[in-house]
Amino acid sequence: MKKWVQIFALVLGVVGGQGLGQTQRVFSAEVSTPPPLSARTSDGFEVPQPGHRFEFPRDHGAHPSFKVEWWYLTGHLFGPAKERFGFQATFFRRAIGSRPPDARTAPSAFGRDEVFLFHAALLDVQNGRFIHTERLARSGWDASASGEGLSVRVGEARLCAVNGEANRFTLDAGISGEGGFSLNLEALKPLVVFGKDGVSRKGDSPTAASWYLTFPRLFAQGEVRLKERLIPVSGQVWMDHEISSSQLTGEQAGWDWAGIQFEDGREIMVYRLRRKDGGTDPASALAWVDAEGKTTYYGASEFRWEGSGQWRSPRTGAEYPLPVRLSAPDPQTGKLVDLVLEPLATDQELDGAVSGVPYWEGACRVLKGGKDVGSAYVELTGYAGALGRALR
Amino acid sequence: MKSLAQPQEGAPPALVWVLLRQFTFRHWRGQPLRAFLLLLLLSLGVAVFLSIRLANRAAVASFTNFAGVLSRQVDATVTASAGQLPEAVLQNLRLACAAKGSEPTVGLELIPVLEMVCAAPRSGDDARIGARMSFTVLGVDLVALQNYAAGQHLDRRWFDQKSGSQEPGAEGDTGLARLLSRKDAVFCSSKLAEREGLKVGSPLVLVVNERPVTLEIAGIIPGRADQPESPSGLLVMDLPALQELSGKEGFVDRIECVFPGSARQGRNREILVDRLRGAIGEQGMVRTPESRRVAAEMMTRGFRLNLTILSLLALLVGLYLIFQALDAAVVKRRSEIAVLRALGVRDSEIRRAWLWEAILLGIGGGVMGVFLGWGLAQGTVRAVSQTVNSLYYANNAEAAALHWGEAGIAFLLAVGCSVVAGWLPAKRAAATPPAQLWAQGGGVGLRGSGASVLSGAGAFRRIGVGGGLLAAAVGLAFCGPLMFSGGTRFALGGYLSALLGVIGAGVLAGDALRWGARWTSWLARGSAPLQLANSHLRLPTSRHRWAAAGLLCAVAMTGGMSVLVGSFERSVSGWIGRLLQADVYLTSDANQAATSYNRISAATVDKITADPAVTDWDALLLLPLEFGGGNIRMAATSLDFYKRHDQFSWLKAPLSSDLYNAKLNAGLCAVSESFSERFRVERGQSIRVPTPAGVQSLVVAGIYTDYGDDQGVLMVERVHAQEWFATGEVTSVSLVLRSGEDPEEFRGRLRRAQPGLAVFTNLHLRGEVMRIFRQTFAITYALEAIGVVVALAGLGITLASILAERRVELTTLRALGMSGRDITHLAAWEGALLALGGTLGGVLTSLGLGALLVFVINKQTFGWTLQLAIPMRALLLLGLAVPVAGAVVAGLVGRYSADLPADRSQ
Repeated sequence: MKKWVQIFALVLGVVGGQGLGQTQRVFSAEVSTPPPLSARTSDGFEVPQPGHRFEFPRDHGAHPSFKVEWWYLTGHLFGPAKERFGFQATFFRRAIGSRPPDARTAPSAFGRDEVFLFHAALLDVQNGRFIHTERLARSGWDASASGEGLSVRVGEARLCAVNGEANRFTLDAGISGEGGFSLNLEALKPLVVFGKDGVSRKGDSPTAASWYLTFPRLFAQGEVRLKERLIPVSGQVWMDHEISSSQLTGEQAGWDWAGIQFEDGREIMVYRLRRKDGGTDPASALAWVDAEGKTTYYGASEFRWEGSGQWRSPRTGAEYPLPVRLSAPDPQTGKLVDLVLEPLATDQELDGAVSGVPYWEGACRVLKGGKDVGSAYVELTGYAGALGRALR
Repeated sequence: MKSLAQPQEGAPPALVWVLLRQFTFRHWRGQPLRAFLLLLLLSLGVAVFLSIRLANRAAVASFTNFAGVLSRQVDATVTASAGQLPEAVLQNLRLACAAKGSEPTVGLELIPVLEMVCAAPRSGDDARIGARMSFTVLGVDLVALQNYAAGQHLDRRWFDQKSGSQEPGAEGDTGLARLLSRKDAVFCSSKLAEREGLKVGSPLVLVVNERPVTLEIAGIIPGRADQPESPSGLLVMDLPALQELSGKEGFVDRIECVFPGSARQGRNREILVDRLRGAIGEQGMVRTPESRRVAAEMMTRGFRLNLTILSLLALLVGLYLIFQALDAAVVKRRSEIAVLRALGVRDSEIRRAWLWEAILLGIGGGVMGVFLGWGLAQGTVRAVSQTVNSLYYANNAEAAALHWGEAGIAFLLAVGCSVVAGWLPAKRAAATPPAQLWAQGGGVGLRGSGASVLSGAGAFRRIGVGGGLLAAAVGLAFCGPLMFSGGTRFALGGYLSALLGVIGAGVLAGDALRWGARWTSWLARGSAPLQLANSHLRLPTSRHRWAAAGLLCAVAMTGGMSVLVGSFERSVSGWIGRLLQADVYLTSDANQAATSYNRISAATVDKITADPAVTDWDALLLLPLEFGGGNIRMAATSLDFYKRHDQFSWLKAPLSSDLYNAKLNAGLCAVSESFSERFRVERGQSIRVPTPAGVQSLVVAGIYTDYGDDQGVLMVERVHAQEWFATGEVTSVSLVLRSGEDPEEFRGRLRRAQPGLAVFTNLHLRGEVMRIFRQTFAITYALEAIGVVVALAGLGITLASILAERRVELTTLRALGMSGRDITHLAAWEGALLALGGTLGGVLTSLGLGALLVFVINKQTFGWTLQLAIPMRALLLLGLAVPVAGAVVAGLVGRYSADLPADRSQ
């Protein structure tokens, strides 16, 4: 989910008046061999180093000595009366000071060193109703992330470890007065650390790297709230946690991303970086995660992502290439597999009310040869005009 | 010919129209100047009323919520019971309001606000209090504001405003990170930017607490085209930056709450309000969105009501004029009425036509008055704003918008007054039988008016009516005030007493004219015109009586207010003399308004009081408090210092000396008279006072006089208050200098050492207090002057009307050899006597009215006991100036009328 580095930087750029021309590359091919990493960025933030020994549950928490960090959850939920929901909840943390926050400084209710951004969306598939929200907060009374374990909150939304455990969490999120969800999450598969030697390189820069931790499949149980209606639900969730201090470049026009959960217990994480010249950036990649959590990577030239139709947003005028056709080698068979990622509702666009960056992020069914083989979340960015242009 | 006497069913309205067109409008066209003057005077009355209402509204409107500035949508406000709210309550509120079960309460916006009133630095050595602009600086979380603004579809351009020379994204732009890292970034209104030529990056110097600080303009407060512009005195800063600047780290003043759409009303709203109340507990209060505005309104209710009632003076006089005009019209048109009656026009039609004439006058006067009032309001708003600034809270109201509700009230008042004034003449016009009219000759008699025949003068002759009204006025003066929540009082009995008293005296004024004319007849010996004038007043017509009553009303109210102001001035002078005993006083130079609570640090106090020139000193800590549902102030001082310097003006002195001993007075307090009156608190009574350290139970040891605050003051020992409110700061310091020390020299030295402090010598401070006091009454004098001018103009119209009706008599007199000069003398003498009668009656009435204002209305409204003072000079001046002016006006009218031919009435 490296794309969020760019989104978050973009948000700050929009709100902070910075052009996207200052952003740098998000992705790099996992197969490339970039130069050695620096220990710190020029402004003193740490750079993720290879061979890091993660300690959980502590490393599920915040890393304030790094500049950017986010916790990202998407999932598919089902109710007792055949209700079906898709949801997204994302918590971002970003240091905005000119240097890392001083740990010795007493926390302020109105911090000046970090800001948090929260996105949430809920799709009621039966009724085709899609609601979403965004919230920006400075660190302090209304937003914080613990450095001791997973406990992050922005406004009324929170994501916490249960009793400080490493693989059980609770998620509460509200979408204005319209709805929300409260879920208990438990990992069904082990945590995946993407990248070589535990570091996901972002490009050739000696600071462009992240620690990229993913629970590709968690069991979710809880309730969805729609107005005053409370619906018990259960389902499966994807959760990313990425820590970085890297800056972004503006070479990409946008990106397409998907997290696919197959019924056979495997997953795909895939992203395609779209360059401004229309081509696919070589840093694009696809990774299969098998039932045991082992990853197999494929480079940009080994898979194909294309739209098989178009949906035009009535709000932003953006034209999104939907549904998505994805062709990639299956490491189990070694053969190419053709998948269709078909949206459960076409209008799942987040309008960027606070961030100023609209994008499409939606629940999809996964079809193979016309048959349902799993569910996915797809993200399409950079279709509402150039990302470097703020929506104002 | 179709008879007017048998109108078809449904025809009456048409008949009334015919009567108006053929009858009423013809007379208006014949006397256009008079009709216009009448409309103008009525409109002036309406205008004065409306202008005061609009100015009041503008002053109150500037006291508003932050979110209100942006969108006018705040659902609840959380404030501290005393002092300020610690930041920790924010998270408690958030947790308490998080969604539970199926309650759709998610989406609550909590907007913490810190507010500070500071001022522009002084230019030169201008030490006048309130002369400089006050700024209300609001500290809000500019990051969280993005959510609120996005949810309300508001302008969110807080972070990327550029100066004109900068390109977007250029170095030096005001991005989020840059803005949050700065402690001097401030946003101002577009009005201020335009007026002061401020741009992004411009410096703005303000005095905050005890020092001048230089801030930098980060941008213009974003607004929406469909919302009113931000007030010019409003500044916005990032909340933590203002906390640091004001020394209020860790605290906010209030939390404005905007509920999600699903909880803006009904059960969900109640759920959220209950949760907020539960979470804040005894630490604070949850108020309704309008409560701040209501609090401001409550605070200034007495002041505004007094102004409104004063502004009605001109309208009241206008009412007399309309009555007179219509009554005169009845007399003048009686032959036509007789013809109409003879033709069978029914009483009801004639009455209706007369009432319609009154309504049309009201409509015309009302419309003119609304526009005139709007213009006038632009002038009065500054005077009202200055007074509100000095006495109640900081505001910079500069312009008064035309509020259609207020305009509607003023318009309806004009029409209503006209109908009331027209009712009696209409009734008389309809009731007089034609035979009687013709029996009177149908034409104009030698005395011309014949008004006494149709005027219903009998009612006025009944001294019993006037006496009865005066007796009722006396009875009402003893009624207590109406009490409202928060201790607000309304002296209904007092106001009704004043109204009935003035009307009763006006009723008696007619008969006083007759007596006056008899008593002054010796003066007219040897002069035929003067004797003639005297004879007219010996048997005064109804219009004579009404003119005298109108003048009496204006003079009585003007004189009454003079008595009140004089009494006030004497009382305040005495109080100041006692209160201000020290040689030098100092406070923050930012304290330009009553709600400026800028402080002086303990370190600065120590440094200043360590000066060898200082032999004794005291410090005062003023704290705004909520008590009994209303706003009051706690004054924390050294009670022993007050005693040593004999500064207390006790109404009820303490029964023991414990109050003056800091070791014994932790549970004691003294309260001001206003406090005692407002909250019905007596000496010896125990009261519960909220403080951040918990509710303090205090026994009222004494009640003292304080003319500086009509909301109520609670005086306690400073050391205890500083402990309760966890502060070492103070609001002002008074210094007693060593004998032989020159206060002016000391002041100059202190000013140079402490540029952020305002330093006053005793003499200067006394002068400033009296200047502000007089400034407060400036608008009162203006209103009184307008009332007197309207009354004098009314006198002119009345005399013109009377002389026009006597045109046959005047022509005869001219034929008998009376010169134009003689006619002028006749009119001037008649006018002077009339004015003298009204003025003398008015002056006498003003004494009673003044006593009523001093002992009843003032006491019940503001809670102040004043020493009665009769401003002899002012009353004498009034008593001379009005008759002289009356004589001049009458002489001018007489001169004009002298040459009018008998067939012209204009």
